[in-house]
Amino acid sequence: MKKYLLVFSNAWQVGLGYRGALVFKAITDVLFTVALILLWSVLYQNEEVIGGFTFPEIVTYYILVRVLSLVYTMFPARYLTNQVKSGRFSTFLLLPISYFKYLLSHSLGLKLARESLTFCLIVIFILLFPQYIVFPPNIVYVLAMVPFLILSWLIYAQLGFLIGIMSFWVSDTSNIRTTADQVVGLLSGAWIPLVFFPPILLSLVNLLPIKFLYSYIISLYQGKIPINQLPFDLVLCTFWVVALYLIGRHFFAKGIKRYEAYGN
Amino acid sequence: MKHMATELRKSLKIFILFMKANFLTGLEYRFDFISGILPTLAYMFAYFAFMSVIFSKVPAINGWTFNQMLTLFAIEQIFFYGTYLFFKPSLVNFSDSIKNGTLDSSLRLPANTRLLVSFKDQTPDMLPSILFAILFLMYSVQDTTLTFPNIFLFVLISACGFFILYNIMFICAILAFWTTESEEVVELAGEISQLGRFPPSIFPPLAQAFMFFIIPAFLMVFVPATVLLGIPDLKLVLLTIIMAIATYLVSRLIWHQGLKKYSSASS
Repeated sequence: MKKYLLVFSNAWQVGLGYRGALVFKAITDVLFTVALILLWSVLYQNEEVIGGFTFPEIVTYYILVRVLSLVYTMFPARYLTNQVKSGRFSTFLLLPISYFKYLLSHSLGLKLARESLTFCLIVIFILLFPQYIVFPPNIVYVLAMVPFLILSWLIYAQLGFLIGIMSFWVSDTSNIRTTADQVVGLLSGAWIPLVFFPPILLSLVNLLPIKFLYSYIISLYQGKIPINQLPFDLVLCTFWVVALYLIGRHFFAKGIKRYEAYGN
Repeated sequence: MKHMATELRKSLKIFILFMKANFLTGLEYRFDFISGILPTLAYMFAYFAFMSVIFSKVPAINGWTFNQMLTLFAIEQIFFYGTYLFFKPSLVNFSDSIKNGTLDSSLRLPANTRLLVSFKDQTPDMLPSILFAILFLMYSVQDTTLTFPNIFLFVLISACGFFILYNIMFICAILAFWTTESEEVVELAGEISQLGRFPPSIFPPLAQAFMFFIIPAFLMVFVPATVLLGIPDLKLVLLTIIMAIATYLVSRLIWHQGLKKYSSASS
């Protein structure tokens, strides 16, 4: 565990190294989120409730999407692809570490560091405009969010890892990664709450692990999921994490057998 | 004047050579070249779905219809992929050339150094995405009566908008003369045009001023869109042209200061 904490800490330091980029990213992220909220505010000029959401609820929704984006990352896909393409992956084959755990620690450290200023700006926004923020109905939902948040983060990272593994077979995964990022974002509610989706699409999403990403966590926060459904969902979510882990492990082992590197 | 014309011709020749070389390199990996369209399709579909939901509730957003909003989006997408196609990879790699001293080789060549460092590396895989974004733009203006002057002015103002974006990204890249690191800032600067996909009227006045003058996303996307849609504001058109010249002059000044500061890091 200690070595992965060190990896996390190193990645955090690297992430904080580019301060200009941090400021730039924070400003554009916040402006983009504010633009989305302002777009919705136009809709709420005529109606009080849209799709079961009041205006403060939709503001809270997009703020939470932004907060979740701070941790969800496809970085494992990018990193693994770069390592395989450049041949630097060979170094990891010799190290006494789990590559998957290394990737998780590195991704999290880097992502949290790069989004740290955005997080501060979000907090400032919440403090300045508390009237637009809806808080959870009770503490049970806040507590329930913790395991779901960790599991959903693992689902996202494992999807990234699976895409990264494809680099053992194809020359570049950047197009697949970006496509997956967009599709997962749309189908998990990063763009619009899932209640606005046609029922047939909703039934499809419910069969996939991405159901536990943005929309589910936010629904949980907003108390829109019955408490008695939570244990079943927790088991299902854990099942997906384990299943994706096993699939990842299987293909990673196959990929390593296929991997070739030469040179110095 | 004759000297200037010769220089321009030479620069254009070099630019075309870079395009040709990068295009041929890109075609080596045909799967990547073709699959580049996938993220574009996914993103455009997601945005289309998002806008469809919004417009299922209201007929217009501050006077902007569904198709007009798609026009803003399509122009922004053309710009976004355009940066990759023409100069983003070169500008992202610029700080590396400072760190390892390879900028020396560009400085020694008998050609415009700025041109060399800006357009050396390109991503031709983005060509299908741009073509798709153009199709999307054509779809979005299906209800608009397009006239030749409109299209001509649109191309001209879009070029100014794109030039502003290039100058901003170039300024971000050459900050590496002082900081040695600029890849991340260049990457992010390439995304500022995304803010231009919303009509300025939805923003409060202060944010509008910010996005007209500080991060001029509206000048890049919104102004060309109004020209194409036949609702131009002449003051904004003029401002876009002035800003294109101003950002060029500022970038030129910083570039020369940077070159004075540059000391090779190579062995």
